[in-house]
Amino acid sequence: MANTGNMLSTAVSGLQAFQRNLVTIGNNISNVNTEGYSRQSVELSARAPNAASGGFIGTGVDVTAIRRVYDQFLVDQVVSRNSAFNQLDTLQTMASGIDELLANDDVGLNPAVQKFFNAMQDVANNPTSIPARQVLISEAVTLSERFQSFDQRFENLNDAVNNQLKVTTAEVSSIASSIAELNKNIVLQRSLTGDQPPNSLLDQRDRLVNQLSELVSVNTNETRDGSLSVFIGNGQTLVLGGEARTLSTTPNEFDLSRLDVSFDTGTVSFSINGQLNGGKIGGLLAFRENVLDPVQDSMGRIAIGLTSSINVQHQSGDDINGNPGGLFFNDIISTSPEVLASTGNNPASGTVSVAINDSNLIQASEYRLNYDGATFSLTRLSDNAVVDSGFTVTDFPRTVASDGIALSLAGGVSAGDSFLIRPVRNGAGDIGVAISSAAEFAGAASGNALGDNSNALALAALQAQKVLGGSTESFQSAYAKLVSEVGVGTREAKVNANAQRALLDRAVESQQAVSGVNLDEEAANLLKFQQAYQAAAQVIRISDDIFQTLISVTGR
Amino acid sequence: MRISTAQMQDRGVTAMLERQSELSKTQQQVATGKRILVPSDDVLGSTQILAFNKVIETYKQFQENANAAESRVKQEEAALTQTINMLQRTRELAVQGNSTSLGANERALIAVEVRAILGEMISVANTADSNGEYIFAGFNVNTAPVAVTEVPAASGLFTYSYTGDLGQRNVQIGETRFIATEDNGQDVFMDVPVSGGGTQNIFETLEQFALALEGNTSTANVPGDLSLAMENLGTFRAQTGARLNAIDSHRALNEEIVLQGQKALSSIEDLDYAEAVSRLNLQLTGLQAAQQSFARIQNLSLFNFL
Repeated sequence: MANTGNMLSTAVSGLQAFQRNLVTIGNNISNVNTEGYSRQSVELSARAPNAASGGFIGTGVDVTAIRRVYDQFLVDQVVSRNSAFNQLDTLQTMASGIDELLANDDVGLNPAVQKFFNAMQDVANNPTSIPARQVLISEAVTLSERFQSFDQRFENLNDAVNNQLKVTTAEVSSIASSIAELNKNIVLQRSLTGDQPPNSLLDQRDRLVNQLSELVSVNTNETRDGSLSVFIGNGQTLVLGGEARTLSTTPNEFDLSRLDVSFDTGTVSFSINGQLNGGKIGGLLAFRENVLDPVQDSMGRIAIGLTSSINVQHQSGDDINGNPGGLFFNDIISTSPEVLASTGNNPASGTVSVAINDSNLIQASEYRLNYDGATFSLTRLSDNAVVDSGFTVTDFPRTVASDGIALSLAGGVSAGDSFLIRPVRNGAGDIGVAISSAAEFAGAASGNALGDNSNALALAALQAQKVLGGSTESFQSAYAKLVSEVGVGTREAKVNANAQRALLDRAVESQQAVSGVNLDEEAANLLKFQQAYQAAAQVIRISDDIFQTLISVTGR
Repeated sequence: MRISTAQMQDRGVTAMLERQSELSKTQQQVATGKRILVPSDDVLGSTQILAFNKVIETYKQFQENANAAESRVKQEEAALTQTINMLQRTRELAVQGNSTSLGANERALIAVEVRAILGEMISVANTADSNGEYIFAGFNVNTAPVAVTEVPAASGLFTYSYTGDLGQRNVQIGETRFIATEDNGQDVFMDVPVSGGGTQNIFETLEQFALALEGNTSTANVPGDLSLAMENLGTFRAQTGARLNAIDSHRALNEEIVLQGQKALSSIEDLDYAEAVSRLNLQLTGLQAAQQSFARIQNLSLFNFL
């Protein structure tokens, strides 16, 4: 009798196991299009056999676990490549906006510069012609507006970076808190089921980590209880077990119009701008630091160089009424350099100001002035070169001849004070035409009558003169250099983004090759387990037949 | 290698999207006729475009400058020629007036013609261009350069003075080439050598000639003085001719530079249509193939046979 009973329970174990398999296959099929789903397989093992006189008799099959088909290495690779790709893709997208702007025939700077100087030549041809002078002034206005519209575009891009940083940091925080919640749930489920893997929760968590990696580079570490720790930046713990911290944005210590990414531990909050890379956030920060700021400085430098050399020459001439020439453009070389004090400075500290001494030597860069309590050091941020150091409060006003600037100090300073110096940043935004009437244009050399065009010729000659970069660049060659730098940068970002996309695709393919659902495979498995199920059912029928046979024999 | 069903679908879709974006770029190139749409397409090419555009536009401006210079120099040349012709006629009259056979009345008649020529000559010296600028005034272009004053008043005696200055305007017709567009009246009309040594303005010479004729006194020095005046103006006319030649040759040079620039620009900037259209066809075929293979592969499933 025991034998028939064994046979039944063995067959039933098979039925149950195959049913589990069929259900799992059904689940795989249903989730064929679910993002982040890992196909599941049923882990079967033979039950312990019964010892009998003739040997061990098998007792059927057990389902030991339903597991994801999964490879942690491949998943990690997708995560890290996702970060790398998204950083470059964001950089590439943002940089393309400037790339397109710079060389466009209609909005680029070059045509406007050309027209301005051509109008200057026309005035030189007809120095007393009021219409020619009016055309010159209107071309100067167009040129100013061109600079300003560039600057407006840069400011818009800065706003876009700010907004996207707000959105992405909020997303990071929300994903982090979801991961923490999932951690709690996963730990709970595992403890309730004797360490059975809660597959769909694990998939969800992997998917969130992947989404997080789109925003910023992350490192993860799974602990023994099944919870996942997530680190960003230089190892800042974003998620630990069921606890999550948040990222947010705070105004930059110098420039309140620029947002920094800061890390909140709940008790303190500090900027981690310099430590973040990868993902959209990394791309946004890289764009702002490596493309937007340098381009804005470059345009500002050209604007200041152009206006100041035109002004100097214009002021050396006489206008149509024999009066000395005034400012042609606004005096932005005096008005636009600015110094921003750190919000962390001693409130009692005084102010630093900057003046441009030599527009030929000014660089397209910001500077950082630090005071350690005894001496100052001045770092040029475009190449991080220390351009001046070891000077004290008594050395002010301090001329930095190599960079064409001079610093002044009003009031005292305290150790740790820091200032951000922007000689040229606002140039393109501040530019404007000062001259208002055609008669005020000083086309004649000083002391000469109105028919003289020599000052107009001298002004026109500035187009070809190398008056920037220590007499190495003309306005247009400086602009061409800017176009090429942005073009090269954008191209590099595009090429690298494409390369990273290929790597990401390969990583996703490898990961999907392991974990993805293939319907043909599921169909084949469906057949396999259907047949096995039918076979197990046949065993039950046969065990019943045997039982009936026995009954009929004994019952007669 | 195993491949998941979703991945297969993705691959097909990605392939189609990539073909479409290539196609769209080619289409944009064909539509604009430009090979470089943004600087990052070809960084070197796009900075060369900036440089060539600058050269072309600058030299076109030099051409305009040359045209403006030419018209001014021609105006001066015409004025000088006219003045020389008048001096020539006056010299003929002087030779005639020196003849001993002439009586006081006949000489007075000659004086009338001389005074008419003098008036004409002053008006030529005070020529203004289309902008109303006096071309012989140096930089003092708003004032007629030759002023006539009757000293003492109502005496019938006139003096001639120059109110302009010594300025000379230049126009840029090449990268380093400047052309003077006029000469000042002081050099042309006023500081003119006379046979007795020293200088005298040509108006004074004519005035004195007329007075001598009217007073029936000797005019023996006049033909020589007029020859010297013609010589002086001839020098300036020769200079205007030289300037016009220089303008012409520079204009040809500038023309050539603009042309070469445009050729170079076109070779960098312009699309090779034959190449682009064949690329377009290739990409269309590629897209079609991607679509067809996608449709056929997506139809395949083991479930169709169960």
